[in-house]
Amino acid sequence: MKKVFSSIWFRCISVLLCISIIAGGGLALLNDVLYVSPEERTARSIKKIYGTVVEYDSLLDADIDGAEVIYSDEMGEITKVFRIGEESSNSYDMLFKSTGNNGYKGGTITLWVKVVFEGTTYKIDKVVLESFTKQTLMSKLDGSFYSGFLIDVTDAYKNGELFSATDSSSENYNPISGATFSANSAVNAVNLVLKCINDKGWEK
Amino acid sequence: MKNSLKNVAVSGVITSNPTLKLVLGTCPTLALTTLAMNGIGMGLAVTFVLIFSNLLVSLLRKVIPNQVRIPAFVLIIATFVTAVRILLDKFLPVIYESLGLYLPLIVVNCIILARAESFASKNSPLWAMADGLFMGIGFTLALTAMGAVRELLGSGAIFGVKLWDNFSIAFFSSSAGAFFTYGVFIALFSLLSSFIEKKQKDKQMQKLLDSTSTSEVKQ
Repeated sequence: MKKVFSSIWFRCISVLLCISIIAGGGLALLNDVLYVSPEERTARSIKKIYGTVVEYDSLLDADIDGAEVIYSDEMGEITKVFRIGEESSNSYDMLFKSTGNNGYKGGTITLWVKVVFEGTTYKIDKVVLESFTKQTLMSKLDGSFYSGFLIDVTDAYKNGELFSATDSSSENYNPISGATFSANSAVNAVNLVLKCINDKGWEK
Repeated sequence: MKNSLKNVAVSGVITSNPTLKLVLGTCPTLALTTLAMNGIGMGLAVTFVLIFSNLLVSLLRKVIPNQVRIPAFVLIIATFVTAVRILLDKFLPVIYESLGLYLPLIVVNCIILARAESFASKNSPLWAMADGLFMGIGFTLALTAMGAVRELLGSGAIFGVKLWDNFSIAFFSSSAGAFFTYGVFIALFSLLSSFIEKKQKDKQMQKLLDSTSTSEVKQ
């Protein structure tokens, strides 16, 4: 028995095991102390959209309400909906976390879509990239690109009509050459928001 | 060479600069230097890991058996990389997002494993930490300088501040531009360091000649 304890392989295993246990314990503690909650992540995303901390009402939140998704169809799914500003006032924003399907290699693009309600009309004001899976070209683009490419089609989404990334001046306008599938996914995410507003009857 | 703070500092920043002289840690160097801020973020993360992994490797150098030293070093490095990830995610989420995939890849960064193996495992904890600090500074400076040049030429901005509107050479933001900039930096750095080395050699030779002539006069 003494021979086993003094052998080199026993020493090797013990040292590696000790390092693993101590490191694992330390990291578990650190992770617990510095845990970033889903609420904190949401607040960060909203800060990214508005550039400052804003007060918001959580209308529907899959993480908090326990539901898997808030709204879904073949285009994708919406997992969070927030209202910024008083509903009773004439102007307020609604913020949607929407994931569009059918991207490149069957991947998805998740966008935050800010919709401004003014009187009886509403319009998409801002689109910010949150995350993506399996995308390449489109995922390298910053928020301003998403906003530009999705919002330039100003007339298409009025009154809840769905739109495509097709310029009125051209039948086959490609937002980025070679990224058609990813573009579809982003368009799906935005269209899903418009569909959700109509189906839920959130428009005035 | 005998350890002195000056030697360790000069070695880390100039004569053995990990990025421009030893050409280590090439993956983050090429991928992340599109922005100067990315260079600073990555550099500081690597410096943190270098300092603390060197310290621990040095402290445990007599405990870790030679046969399992590499797995043990990787375990130690991975621990600190994970700690950096947790800290950045909590306190600097913008940098955490911009570093993305390259942050966990620090675990397999050659600079850290090389310093653990060649320096920290043979020196006292204080020297190991100093080596980690100066190697980290050398890495950070190289990445930041490359990032600044690529950001300036690629988008007409520096540290996010737009200097010129309507100016951008897309080549410098691309992968090909990264290789080109890296090559130019290595060439310039080699030129500069060989010039400094030559000057130092000339100085030493002059000193030797002076001392020889003085001793001849005395005789």
